[in-house]
Amino acid sequence: MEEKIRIMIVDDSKTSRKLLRGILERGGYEVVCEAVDGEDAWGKYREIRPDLVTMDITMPKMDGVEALSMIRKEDPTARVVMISASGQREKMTMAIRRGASDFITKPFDEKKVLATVGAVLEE
Amino acid sequence: MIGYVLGNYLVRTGKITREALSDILRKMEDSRAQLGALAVSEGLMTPAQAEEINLLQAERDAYFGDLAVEEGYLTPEQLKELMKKQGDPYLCCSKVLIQEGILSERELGEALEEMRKEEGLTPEQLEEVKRGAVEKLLPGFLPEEAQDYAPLAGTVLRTVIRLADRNAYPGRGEMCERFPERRQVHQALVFDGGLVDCFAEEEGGLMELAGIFAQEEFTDLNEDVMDAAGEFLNCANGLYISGLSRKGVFLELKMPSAERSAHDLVPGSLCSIPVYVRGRSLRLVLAKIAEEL
Repeated sequence: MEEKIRIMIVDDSKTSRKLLRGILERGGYEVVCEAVDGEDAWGKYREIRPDLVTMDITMPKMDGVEALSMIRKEDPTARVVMISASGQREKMTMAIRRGASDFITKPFDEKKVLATVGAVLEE
Repeated sequence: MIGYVLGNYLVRTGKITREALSDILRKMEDSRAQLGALAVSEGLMTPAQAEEINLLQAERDAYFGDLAVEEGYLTPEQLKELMKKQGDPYLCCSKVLIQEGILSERELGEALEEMRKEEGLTPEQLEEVKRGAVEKLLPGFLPEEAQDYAPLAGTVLRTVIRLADRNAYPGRGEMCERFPERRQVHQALVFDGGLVDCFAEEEGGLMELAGIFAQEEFTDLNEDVMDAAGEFLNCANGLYISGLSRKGVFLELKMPSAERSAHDLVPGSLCSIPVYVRGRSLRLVLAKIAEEL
């Protein structure tokens, strides 16, 4: 049986995690774990090594851009797709400069999410 | 919007039951096509173009038709023609009420006039309600001191209409001394001062909004409701600051929080606007953050 691609969702909002999990699972991906802030994401990434991370930008403790930097420092091949509401262009640009693969805007559009994740995984 | 405004008036005055209102609104929904679907079925846009416009709407606070013209998929004349074909919201509403034998034409006219007086609407504002033009209606619903909240309140309201309930509508806003007592979620938009807006529960509207957004049926006003409402507010405010940034004004969006705003507010700047989602009210409260010294 073909192994599913393993994804980690990082978002402080339970609603967003649930909606994104639903979209990714319907797209045939396996959501291996969820993290609720940057610190949590950093710890879980080192332990689980997922194939792709979706990373919300605005979070408590450690924000998504900082967590992205930590993950990419540890694993320069890590694929991280940033997530944010509209209007965070500056932070998105900073994240892309720090190695984010792409970004998705909230609210989630199922087709757009799956197309973005699919394209990043093909790179 | 007119279906809800008039329908709720008819429920309040005992002319119809809430169940009958739900039935009427469903029939109205069935009789009025979405503009994108109509453009595709008329062969004016491809499904891919319609989808592209839908995605653009996640980043821009703008109507489908206006974006389609801006992107060159429709001409202004084609948009006008499509809107004519889509049908006037008031005509759809009155057709259902009369066809279902709920009101005669004369009774409908009388009910509209009574409602206009009760809601404190001018005849011109009533026409805007009939057309469903929220952005034109909102300034008339805000007190004089709160007129500069109209752009942000308009974006939040249009987001509610687009993502949660296309029949959502605002009530008359009022200045208030403090945030409401019931559960609420806040978000600050800051830059040398700034604004804070908040969704507060009133009569089940917040739970409705959160449930639609989270695709869940909530029965208690719990943490999950507040989380979903906070995410919704974040999306709406994001659209607002995104529009401002295109004009060279940059605001920072703080994290939504179920705690009261820790910022110092400008005294006397709180304005509370009822918003009806699926006929149930919540409060959108806006205030100005004092400039930091």
